[in-house]
Amino acid sequence: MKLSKEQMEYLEQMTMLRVPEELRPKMMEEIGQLVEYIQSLKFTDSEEEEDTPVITEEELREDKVKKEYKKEDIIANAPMQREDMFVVPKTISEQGEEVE
Amino acid sequence: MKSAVELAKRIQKGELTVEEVVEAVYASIEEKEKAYHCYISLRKKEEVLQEANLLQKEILAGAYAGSPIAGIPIAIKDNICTKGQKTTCASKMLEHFVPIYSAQVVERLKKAGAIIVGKTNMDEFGMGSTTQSSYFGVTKHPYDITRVAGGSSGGSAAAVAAGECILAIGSDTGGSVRQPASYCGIVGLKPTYGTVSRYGLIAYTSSLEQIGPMTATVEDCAAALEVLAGADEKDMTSRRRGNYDFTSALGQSIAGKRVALPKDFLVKGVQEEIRQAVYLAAEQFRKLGAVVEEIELGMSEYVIPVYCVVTAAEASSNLARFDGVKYGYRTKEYGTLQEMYEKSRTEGFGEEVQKRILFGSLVLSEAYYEEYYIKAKKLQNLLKRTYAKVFQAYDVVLGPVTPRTAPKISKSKKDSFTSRLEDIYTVPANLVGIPAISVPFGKDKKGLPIGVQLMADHFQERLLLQMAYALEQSQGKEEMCNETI
Repeated sequence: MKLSKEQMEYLEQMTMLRVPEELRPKMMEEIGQLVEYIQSLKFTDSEEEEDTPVITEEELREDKVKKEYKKEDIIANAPMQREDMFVVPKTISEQGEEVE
Repeated sequence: MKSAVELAKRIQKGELTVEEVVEAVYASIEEKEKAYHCYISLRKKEEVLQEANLLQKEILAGAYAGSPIAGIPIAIKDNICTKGQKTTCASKMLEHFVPIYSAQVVERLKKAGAIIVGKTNMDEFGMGSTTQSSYFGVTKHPYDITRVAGGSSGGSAAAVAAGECILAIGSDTGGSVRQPASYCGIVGLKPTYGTVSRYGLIAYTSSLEQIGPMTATVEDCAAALEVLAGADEKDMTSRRRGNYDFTSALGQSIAGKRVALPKDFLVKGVQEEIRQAVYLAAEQFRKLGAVVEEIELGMSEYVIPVYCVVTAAEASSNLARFDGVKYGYRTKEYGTLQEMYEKSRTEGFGEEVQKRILFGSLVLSEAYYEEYYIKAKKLQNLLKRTYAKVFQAYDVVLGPVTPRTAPKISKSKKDSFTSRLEDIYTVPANLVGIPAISVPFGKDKKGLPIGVQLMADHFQERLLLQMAYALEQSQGKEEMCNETI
């Protein structure tokens, strides 16, 4: 199966990735090969097996807040920081609209 | 290689000091690390010796009387968080990341008096089986540096085999502890899902992975598991077990134990010496009084496709957190937030990681979700029922770990899905959640180690290790490296 340009762009949109032009044909081909490889799943008889939950409701713990970390430690790994805030590009304009 | 348990006993008796063991390990590192590249980061020797000195006094004062690994230098795979020490997942994305907490397993190992020497090399985010996808370069096989040490816990396996640590821990999602253990001639165990807390393990496939010990001997493996295992309220998938004794059955008779040998595991594509090793292992079990029977397991043709779908789907979700905002790599030039996300992720992740994220999102997308992801989960359940039936009649399943011994380092990037067929024997244990161990069992004509795999039912590690110990002891002991501790 060959991945179409539109399918690739859709996947990139969903995953916040943007594969560089020179690597795109190879990436699209390899993903297409993977899709080809898993085709056998469609034709394998599985009956109607219920998915077993990993955690049951009885095993949930209480949602207790435990203050464990200092602010300075949490922010120490930030690529960009100011005082105790993470710095990111503007998301809301002065007019209060979402920035594209 | 030296046994952790034996060294720890000698330290407790005062026959050896912790500093002497640390010195010996660092001597190996100084001699071999440049050639093998087991580690991404190493602690400074002086710092570790200071810690060793303190530990030595505490051990002699009886502080670690019950611990089987007090004073032992260990290596930790670099996807397991160590507070204050870089944890990179072998990725540019986390090249400078320093965790503010340690993983539960690290806390447990420290409480048991182990000393961390460094963080080992791996495939980027655990995605791969050779360490060739590591941002920091490949780990070479200690027996032959033109070959890979395996992966994704390749650095940990090579470090134990080369004496650059006495014991290591890795993580196993589809064979990532057992395969490199097999390639490098050491013991590697993937515990039952839920046995060891995943808190602090940087997630790749949350529903399949387990942290496991990688050791010189089965006894070391059992002792290390006793230290690592335990329920943890910070990991809701960890189970409280009735029993954490994994060592007392070692050396007990295995007469009457029932071993299943799936014929389909050995039908085609297996290197002849590996096939012979498995049959020899079966013979050894028979000599020890166990019953070995060939069975038809079936189901192997869809195991890898199911694994591909489940792992990619969970990876695409788990790796969504890496966006260049709170930690990790951020691109240098960007305008909008969208651009920052896209460029940071595309520049920060390697090719293989990006491919799995894209493919994972495809199988979870509306058009394909039912057909691929839900179908894969249903087949996973069918596989669980198949193995459950086998374990009604048998105690363990015997087979190869890999179809071939350690391959050459490839100049071009290996095709990812043919290399996935190499995982055909290890992946079932992850999909089903059962414990599995790789035991070194001979070498091939080129002198490369061979491992055989045993699998047992859920929470049957005690039995699994008993059988593994019997197999190990049925061979002569072999020293890989000459060390004079």
